[in-house]
Amino acid sequence: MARTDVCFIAEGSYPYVVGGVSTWVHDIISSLKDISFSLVFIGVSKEAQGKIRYELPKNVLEYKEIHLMQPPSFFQRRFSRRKEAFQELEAFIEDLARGDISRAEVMIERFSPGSKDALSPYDIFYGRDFWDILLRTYEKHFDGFSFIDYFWTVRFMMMPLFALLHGDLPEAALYHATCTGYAGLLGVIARLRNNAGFILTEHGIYTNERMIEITQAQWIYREQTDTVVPRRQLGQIQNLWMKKFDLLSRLAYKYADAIFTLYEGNRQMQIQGGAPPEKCEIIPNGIEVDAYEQLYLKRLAASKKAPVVALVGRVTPIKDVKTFIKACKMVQSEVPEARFFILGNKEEDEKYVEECERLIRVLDLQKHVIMTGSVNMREYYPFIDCVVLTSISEAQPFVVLEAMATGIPVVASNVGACMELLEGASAEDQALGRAGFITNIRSPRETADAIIKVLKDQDMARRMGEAGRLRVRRYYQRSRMLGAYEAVYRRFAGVKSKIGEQREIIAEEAG
Amino acid sequence: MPKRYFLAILEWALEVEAFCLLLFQWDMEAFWRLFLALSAHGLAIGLLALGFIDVYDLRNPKDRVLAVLGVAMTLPFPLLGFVAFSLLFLFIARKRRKARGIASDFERYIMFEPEQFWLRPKNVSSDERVSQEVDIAPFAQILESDDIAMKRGAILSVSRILRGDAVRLLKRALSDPSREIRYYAQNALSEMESEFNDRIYKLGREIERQPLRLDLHLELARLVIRFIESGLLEDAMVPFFTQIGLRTLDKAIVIGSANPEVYLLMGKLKKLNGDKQGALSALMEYWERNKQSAEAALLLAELLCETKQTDMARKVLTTAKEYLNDTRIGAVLDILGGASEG
Repeated sequence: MARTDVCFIAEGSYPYVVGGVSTWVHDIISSLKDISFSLVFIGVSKEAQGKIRYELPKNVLEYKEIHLMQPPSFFQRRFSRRKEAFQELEAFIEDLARGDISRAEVMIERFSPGSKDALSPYDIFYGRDFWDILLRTYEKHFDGFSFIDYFWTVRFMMMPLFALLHGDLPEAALYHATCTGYAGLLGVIARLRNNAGFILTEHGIYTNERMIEITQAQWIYREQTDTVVPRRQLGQIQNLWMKKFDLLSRLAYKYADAIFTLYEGNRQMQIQGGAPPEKCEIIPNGIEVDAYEQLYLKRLAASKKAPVVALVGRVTPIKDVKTFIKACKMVQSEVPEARFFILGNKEEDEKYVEECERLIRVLDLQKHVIMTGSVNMREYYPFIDCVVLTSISEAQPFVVLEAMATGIPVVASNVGACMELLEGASAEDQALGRAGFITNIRSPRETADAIIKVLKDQDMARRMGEAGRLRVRRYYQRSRMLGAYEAVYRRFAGVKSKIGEQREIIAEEAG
Repeated sequence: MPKRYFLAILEWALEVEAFCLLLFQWDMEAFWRLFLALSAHGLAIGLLALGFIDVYDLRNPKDRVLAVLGVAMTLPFPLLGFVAFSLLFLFIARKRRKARGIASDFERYIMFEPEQFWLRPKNVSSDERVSQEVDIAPFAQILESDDIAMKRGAILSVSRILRGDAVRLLKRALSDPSREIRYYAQNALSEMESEFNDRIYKLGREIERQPLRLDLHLELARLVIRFIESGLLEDAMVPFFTQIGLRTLDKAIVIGSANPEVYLLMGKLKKLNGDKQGALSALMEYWERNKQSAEAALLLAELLCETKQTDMARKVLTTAKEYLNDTRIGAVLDILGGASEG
């Protein structure tokens, strides 16, 4: 297969999972038609990933999948001693314990299939030398801790790394990872092996998200869970996992040519996490404003019997749908004719969906609140009077931008970039006016009050809608976002697209 | 004799019938006597192959042996063979029951149905007991610091304490500058709340199925009160949940107005909802029916004082003191006496 311009590396998102990151990847690929792309999807296992949710654009010339829990064969045994390689590995493990990743480059080479004296999965999972290293590391760092848990955790942690190291990578001039973690590691491997460029865009901060996940994961062994004594340290196994993800992030930050995120808050977190500040840049999300213009006009012309309030998002705990449901109850007692919709995927967390459905029944809202599941939002936007977002964590949500572009006032919790989206980032931006209300997280009363204000004060709602439209048009145009990435691709991959060529011609002519 | 023994009784009846038909003449032609006797015997053997008391599970070797044994013993000797098999069966079953004592206990344990569990009162585990005695102040101090790792530890610990002050602390952590800490606090609160919502929902469904069960209505009202008192509910949500409790108590009055607890719970709910007069009249109703509750007396006295009916409060407490040996009543009465004198 021919070498493509850019290879996107998506972990647990595009093209299988609908969401902000996937929308963004799809948008970039399908809009930059003159750039050839390849795509690598990193998932847990083939069985767990479901159906492909996006049709791959024509400029995706190559598509590969890597499954972390399906590593290459363990049984390719090599009989040479490779004493030096194991010594290096032990020294590398010691370095990692201290947080030093300077030997990573050498180790990636050591573990790459085909390299001289390469270490194979057999060496790690069944070899005597690694067993000895494992015992020595245990005695040094984990003495007194459950050996069985330590042993299986190490094995479990190594498996995905082999899946990546032995994974089939498309050839590309530039690798673009959508997060650090495993996608970032694959980007580093690709960069080192193929002498290519590597850039990274983080929507949410990977280590923060993993930290939360690991602290609450039931599958990780936790010692001393029967006390209420607060501890600075997580359990040893939790620490091991956290350290792994932290090291993966720092590795990606170190080897990335450029690091992008959506807004200043996230950029600061990347710097705190070890990203060199000079590499960190902000490219905000953007949407096709003109496409929403038609919806805006349709919305103006739409006649409805009752006001419609909608939460747009997956029904998952991070979206805190329950706060929205409670707010619906409060709004309903003041605006009885109002109708409420929860528009988003219901398949991701069935237990949470059930909890939400039960809350709807407990509050006797069955006739007022409708959970639709995944829908085409373009069919719904013209009929919505207020879009609500009660999330407890977001980056720069597309749904807010889309609602603003359609002229719909937004009530959003104070997370991620929501405040700057609704109230403006700079003084000039703020002068455009408010596009909605910001509420505290987990605050149904504030959410309900804001919704009631929007529903009752039509003039104010209209002004907010107009301010939103203006702001999106001025700062969050998709063309701005695409132009920025196109420039990045030109810079790091030497991509010369038709648009670029046209610009150069124009510049030459002007010059 | 319950349905459980139906099969055995039927087999017995058929065997006795077959035996009697062979033994006595009953003015019947020989053909019919033989035909009916053999039919009854055949049917009994057919049923015996199916099971003696319970239907056999033929995947189980022991049941297979019993089926073959029963048929083999009964087929050549009507009634006699059957009696012998019945005795043998009883002997084996007795032995089995002894051996199965521990096994059946274990079986009951592993067959524990979580779906039913919510109806039973929760046992207080040692963990809960410890958490009831934990002082919340050190956690509050940690949560005011800048040490994220320690704050995370504190949130995880506090989230295991289902108490009003712990809930308030978690709510305060929702506005922590750290996104991570806010997330943990939100998650802990959400999980605590879910448990209540879930139990309320399930009780509601059970009430829909069995609307005349007074105990379910009372349990639902108690649960709603516990939910409100836990502090998990936002103030604005309290009236909606109070309504759930009051609606169920209205139904409980229709079902069994003789139960005074209905009025006690109603009084508590109305008080939580800020309806002092309503709470007062419900508690008076309760007091007229039952003067054995110190909790009700104190609650009633508190409400009477709040509505400036101190004499009445004193009267209630004096009556309560006659019935109950509770030091709190005397203490409050002393204060009230002092207040009136003052």
